[in-house]
Amino acid sequence: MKQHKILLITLAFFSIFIHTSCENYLDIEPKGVRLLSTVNDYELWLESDFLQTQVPFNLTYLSDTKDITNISNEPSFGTQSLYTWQKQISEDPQATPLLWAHLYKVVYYYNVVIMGVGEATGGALQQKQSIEAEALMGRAFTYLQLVNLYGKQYNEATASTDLAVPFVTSNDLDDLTPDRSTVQEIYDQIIADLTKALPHLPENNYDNRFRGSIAGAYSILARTYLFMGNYQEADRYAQLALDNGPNVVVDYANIPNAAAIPNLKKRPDAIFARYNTGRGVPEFPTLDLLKSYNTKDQRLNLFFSNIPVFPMLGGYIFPRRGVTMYWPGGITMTGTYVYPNCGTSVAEMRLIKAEAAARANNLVEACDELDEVRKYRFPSASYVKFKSDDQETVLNEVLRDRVFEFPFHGMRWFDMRRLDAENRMPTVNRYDGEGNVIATLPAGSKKYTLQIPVQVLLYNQNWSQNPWDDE
Amino acid sequence: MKTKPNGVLIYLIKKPLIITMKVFIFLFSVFTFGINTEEALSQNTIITFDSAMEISMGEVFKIIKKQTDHTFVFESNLFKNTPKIKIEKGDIKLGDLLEKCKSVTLSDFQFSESGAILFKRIPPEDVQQTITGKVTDMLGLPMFGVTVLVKGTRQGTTTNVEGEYSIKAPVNAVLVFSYIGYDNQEIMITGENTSLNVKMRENISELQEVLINTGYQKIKPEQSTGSIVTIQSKEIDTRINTTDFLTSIQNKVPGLLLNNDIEFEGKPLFQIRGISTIYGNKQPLIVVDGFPTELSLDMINPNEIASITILKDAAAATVYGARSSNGVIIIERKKAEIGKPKIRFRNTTSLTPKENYSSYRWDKNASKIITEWEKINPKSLVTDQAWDLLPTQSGDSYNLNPAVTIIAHWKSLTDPISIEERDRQLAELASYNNTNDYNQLFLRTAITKTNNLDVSGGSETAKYYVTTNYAKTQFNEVKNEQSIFRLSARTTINLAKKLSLDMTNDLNIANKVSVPIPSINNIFPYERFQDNDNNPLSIHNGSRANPYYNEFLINTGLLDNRYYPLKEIDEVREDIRSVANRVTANFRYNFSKELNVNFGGVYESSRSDNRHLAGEESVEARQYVNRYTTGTSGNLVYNIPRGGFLREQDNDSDGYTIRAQANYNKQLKKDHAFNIILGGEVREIINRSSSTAYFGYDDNTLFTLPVDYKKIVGMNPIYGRSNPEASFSQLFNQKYENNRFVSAYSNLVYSYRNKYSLTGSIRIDQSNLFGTNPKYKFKPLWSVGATWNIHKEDFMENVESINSMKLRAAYGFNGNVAKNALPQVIAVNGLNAITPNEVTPMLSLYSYANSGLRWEQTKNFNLGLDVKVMNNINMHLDYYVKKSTDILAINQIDATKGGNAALINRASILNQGYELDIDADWISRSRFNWNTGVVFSYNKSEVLDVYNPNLLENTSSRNYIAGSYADYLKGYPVGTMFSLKYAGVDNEGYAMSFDENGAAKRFFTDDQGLAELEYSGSSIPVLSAGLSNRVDIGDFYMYCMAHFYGGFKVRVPAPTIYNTTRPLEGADNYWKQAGDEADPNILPFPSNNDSQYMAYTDKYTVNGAYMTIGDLTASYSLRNSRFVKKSGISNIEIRLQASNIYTIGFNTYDFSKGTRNYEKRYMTPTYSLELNFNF
Repeated sequence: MKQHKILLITLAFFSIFIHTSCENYLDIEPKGVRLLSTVNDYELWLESDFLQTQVPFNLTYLSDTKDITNISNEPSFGTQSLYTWQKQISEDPQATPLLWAHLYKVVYYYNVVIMGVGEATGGALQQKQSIEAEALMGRAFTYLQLVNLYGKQYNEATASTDLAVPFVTSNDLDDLTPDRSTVQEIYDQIIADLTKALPHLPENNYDNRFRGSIAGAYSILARTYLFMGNYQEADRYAQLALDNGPNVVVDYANIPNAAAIPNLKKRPDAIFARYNTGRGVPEFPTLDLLKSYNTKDQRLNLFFSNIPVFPMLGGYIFPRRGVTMYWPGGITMTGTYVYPNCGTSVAEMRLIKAEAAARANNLVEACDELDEVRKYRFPSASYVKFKSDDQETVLNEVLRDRVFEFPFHGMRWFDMRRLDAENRMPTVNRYDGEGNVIATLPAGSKKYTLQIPVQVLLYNQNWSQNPWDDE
Repeated sequence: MKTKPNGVLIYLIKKPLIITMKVFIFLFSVFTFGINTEEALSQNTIITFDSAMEISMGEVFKIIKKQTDHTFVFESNLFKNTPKIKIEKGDIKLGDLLEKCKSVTLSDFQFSESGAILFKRIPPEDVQQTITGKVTDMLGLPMFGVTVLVKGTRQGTTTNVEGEYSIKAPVNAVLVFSYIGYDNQEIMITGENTSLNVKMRENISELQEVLINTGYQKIKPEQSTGSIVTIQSKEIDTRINTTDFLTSIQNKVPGLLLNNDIEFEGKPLFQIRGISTIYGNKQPLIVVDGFPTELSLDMINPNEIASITILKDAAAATVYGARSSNGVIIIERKKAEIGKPKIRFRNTTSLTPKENYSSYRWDKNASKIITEWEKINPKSLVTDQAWDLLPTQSGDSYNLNPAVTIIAHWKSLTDPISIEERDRQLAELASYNNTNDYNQLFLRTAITKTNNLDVSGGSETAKYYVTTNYAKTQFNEVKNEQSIFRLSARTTINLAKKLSLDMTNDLNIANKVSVPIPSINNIFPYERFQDNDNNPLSIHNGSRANPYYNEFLINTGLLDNRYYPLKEIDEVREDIRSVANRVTANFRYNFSKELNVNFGGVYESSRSDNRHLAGEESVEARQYVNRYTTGTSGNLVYNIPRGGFLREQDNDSDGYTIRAQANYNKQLKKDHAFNIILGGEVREIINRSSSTAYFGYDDNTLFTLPVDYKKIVGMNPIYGRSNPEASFSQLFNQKYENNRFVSAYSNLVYSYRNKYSLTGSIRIDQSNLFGTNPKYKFKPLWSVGATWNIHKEDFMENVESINSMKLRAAYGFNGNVAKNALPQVIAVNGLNAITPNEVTPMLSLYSYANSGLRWEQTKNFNLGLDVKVMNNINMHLDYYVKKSTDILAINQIDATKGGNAALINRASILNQGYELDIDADWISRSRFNWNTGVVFSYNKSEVLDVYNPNLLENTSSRNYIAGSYADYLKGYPVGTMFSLKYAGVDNEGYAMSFDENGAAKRFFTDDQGLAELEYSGSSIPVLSAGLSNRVDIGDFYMYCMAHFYGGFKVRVPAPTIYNTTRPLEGADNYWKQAGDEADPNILPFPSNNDSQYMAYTDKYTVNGAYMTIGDLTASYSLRNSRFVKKSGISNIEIRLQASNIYTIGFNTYDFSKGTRNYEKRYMTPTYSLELNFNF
């Protein structure tokens, strides 16, 4: 009997040991990683450097401002394919689809917030709504890039049949990918999201320009309508952005070097601050771009290494490719990270307004708006205000200034697309080291709408592919 | 374990017994002559026998009466049924004769004064007779230290050096002879046997006798249904263990693929029955003394392993649950035996010579052909501007190598040198090759010295085994060394009659010093390490600044950015000190014969401190300083202070397992036997690590300078842009990982008449790894098995040549744990440093939400046959099918879902194979034995499913041949290789391959993807085999082990000049002009793609089969030497061993993976000498 008692005690001990303590024992919060549960977690999530550097650096490879002098004759790897407007950036089914994968990861980040913040603990409803509104705004900003890479340039007549990208709202890998939406649907969604976000967004973001604000949403709306060709609305929202947020342009005319530009987090002219993924990486500009700058333009002298570094190479004559470089942080290389804003800025709003005015043939207003940017870009002694009463001249000057202002900001490709749709783009060529043409982007080319990456099509075989020039 | 004295044995010991008796009697007579009493006189009366005979007591009395005056008095039935007494021909003293009768008949005698001899019965238990004898092994060699115990008592002794023992024991008692690695012999003392010689039989090949240890329980072999292999210490100890214990079981266990020369996914092969997971751990689970270990395998001293058991299939391993998919290796260490202290000392010295570069397959004129090539290299990246830019540009594209720098100078537009000057400078480079200097300056003979001391012994109540081990190694690379100290103590204490405790305690302290030795493959052959005055010189690789830019840096006020290998080895030093501790305690309480309960656990902790010190003058410290210096000459700001750099990293790991288990054994009537275990386990593992760094550090003053990390983090450098980044997250780092498991398990064995048995296992594991949803936390795994012991059937009774024959089958599931994924979004903390001076906390994505996450599982079927024939030949044959499903892997996902890759359960792998194991003692005589072991394994894998089944279409062929893309490809084995079908060189020197239709074209033009490739095979051997032979001749043995790997392909690098520092022989034989292509062996004109991809053609992808002779060991034991005996040492054994002696590759290039690299033609042997002393 005694033996049985001991046995029973032991068995009881077993079961207590294993069962009762089990749930508590296993329920440990992992350290070093975090499940998003509190409102503060979502705050920190929006603080991630991934989102703040979300603009794809690779966008500059598409742009006509970029030059690669040592390109191989058979462009093989991703970015070179992009630079030469290949049909696919990579045929390798295992390759990361550049641009697409990055932008959808950004979308994922915002979707995590949009889906989860409502159930988070430890914050007032207002704070949750504000965080969700910021995510909606960020997602809209991202879809604006996606629709302008993989969908045709917005054309009111065809937008509701032109296929763009899928509109993803889930954060679970187990969910199915939706089909491609039309260009119209994506634009509608962008506008709807921004409109939905506006009432809840913070009034301003002067202590951290990377975060959302009412002016930020207006500025993205202004850019959205500009890309849609709705200049009236673009002008209206640009003005709203200026009225509700910062309205100064950093004066390049009276600063000793680029290091004096305030850091982007608190830069006074940034409406919605975003870096690109490559931030400080220098680029070689085309000689055409270099030569088109006015030699007095501070945007040339602050950011392009030229005369001081290689006097023997010809100064402002720029005789050789691959010598003068664009330094995003300024040529003084002070290491203080004054990188360009690839989000929205006061200067962009001014230029949108100038363009809208020029297109509406309000040339005086257009020149005045342009002057609001240019007068801060030239030393006052050598500054001459641009004036013209020819609509085409004014419009061209405004468009040119967009290039000077945003040469490697990820803006140029989108401008090239909309200009090409208006037959304003010449043929763009790429040259190898010896000056032979190795790639061509003709006017009206289908290449202006990138193909869906094969890596994505493999998973979505019912999608149709975007057409290409040789088809 | 029980052996009844069998007829053969008694017969064998009879003869020596008689001889011994004779000697004994002679000596006895001599001695008794001295004691001359009256009784003694009577006793000394001589009785003579005319012939040898066996007679009853009655007849004895008749003869005595006939020859003397003595009369006899005894109880009438005293001698009834007593055994007959053996008498030899000749004279025997009366006393001796009576003594003899006494012991045979269990009666005591006494001489009365009247001369009558009185006999009386003595109770058997009181008859304490002295038993003497000699214990030998099967070869007849005396065995020292064998425990001899009177069964059921604490009375015991051990054999001496001669193998002799003497013990007092009552008649009818049972003597138990035990020695580790040998079967216990139990022999009953009959009155007749005062001398008992015993032959011990090793339990190595005893299919029937050794219990199988699964770590949780010990099962009788005839009841086991799983595929289990056990290797005993003798086999492990046959060779000298200079490295780790794994080397000793390489190709000793079928199904275990162990190969340090072939890597898969960057790790040496170490797997049981193929690869059944992609992202999870692929290595078998290792269990030491009953509990899984997370510690480094260094912890296990190879010299103290008693047995290694390998569990391969579901029936065997399911009880290990979610960690059993890869098989389990169970290590049992030597245990103490009762007896006087036994001391053993072992000293081993091993030598490994340094590399012999002169026999490498390198071109002897490497410097020349490289420099000559640069003259004509059309793809040289040097432009005519390069020379002018050199002094001002940092960045990788301006770090030109010396030969290219000369070319650049010649190409310069502003300041060119003449072509003659160019050639003169190149010729100067070409005149020197640094292999000899490298060998002399950086390499030496590697030496490992090991000392090992064991002390063991104990009594019935407490046994102990203490072992210390000290190993010191100087590696081939100068200044690199390591020492390991190990201490292990194990005791078994009987705390009470029913309660016992096993405890083990292990301590391991290792110190390793590493100094950076440059790899010879990274140094151009024409580079010098020192000038004529022995001042160190810098080399290209690692300098990260060309000499002109370096000069600019120095002139600007920065530090020398270049790498001086000879200086660096004095300046940089990394010390890794690790301490590991392991304690196990296991209580066992026996309620009854049937039921006992174990309660115990293991605690493991390890700590390693990694101290990396780079002195002020090291390139490492200098390059950090330069990278983070800002400002201009005269106004430089050193954001990282000048001085040394110290990085310290601590890794801690603590873990415990607590286990409670009930064991129930029941024999129902005669036919039914049950063995049930039921248990639970709790397990926790905590891993921590932290690292810190100091700049401006002085190791003498221990003073360090402050750094403003806000300025450093993510800084865009001005100078030395290609210098390594001082990444804040790598310099300062904390890691913490806590995994907990709770498990319950049960194993049931039912056996019918020991002929048939059925087993079943079930285990449920819960862990914190899969979050809170019970759907993911529960993972029930189960298995069933059955065994048929055919030889116990009646119809097998007459088949004498088959000693045993067993058929077994098992089916079930094993699991694998995959970590770092949860169904929810996981975020990870970080620092947002994109705004300088405003570093803020942030969260970023660690893993995606995945509601479909689940555990991996492997369905396992095994069929096995165990046969023992002709007493000496054991064979095991196994066939298995393993299908692993829900394999978790970082897989490509639809990028639209938020990224390019995520951890998901999609893949499936099938492994099938068969295994054969033969162990035979061909000849077994008393002074001669020849044993052969053959192990043969075949494993074929097939990836049944990977995440994307459509990957096979429209893919560039390049992706299939290079990289790891084909490692897991649907429809192909794990580690598949594809090759281009080589079609020679075209008339412009380009390499060509055949397309799908057999037309030749240049590589990768008009690419047809997989269609134009040839399936070559797997990079992982499908076949592996081992053959060992051991021949014992008296005190001498020789042992030889050969390994074979086959059924796989290797890529042989094609010789080329392009982009290499050490071109292979024949690299110069490339296409130079039209017409050269007629030579079928001509190499393509060196250019980027062609040279790089030549190894991926079918011409250079060849059969990888190779054989190596792993060990050749000779041993001589001095146990019979007079000198040794005199000095009180029981044995001295001297052993010599040569390892990695010879290898042969079965392909046209004679390439054997045994040499690891194709450049190397031979294996580097290791020579060892071991001295072994037993006291």
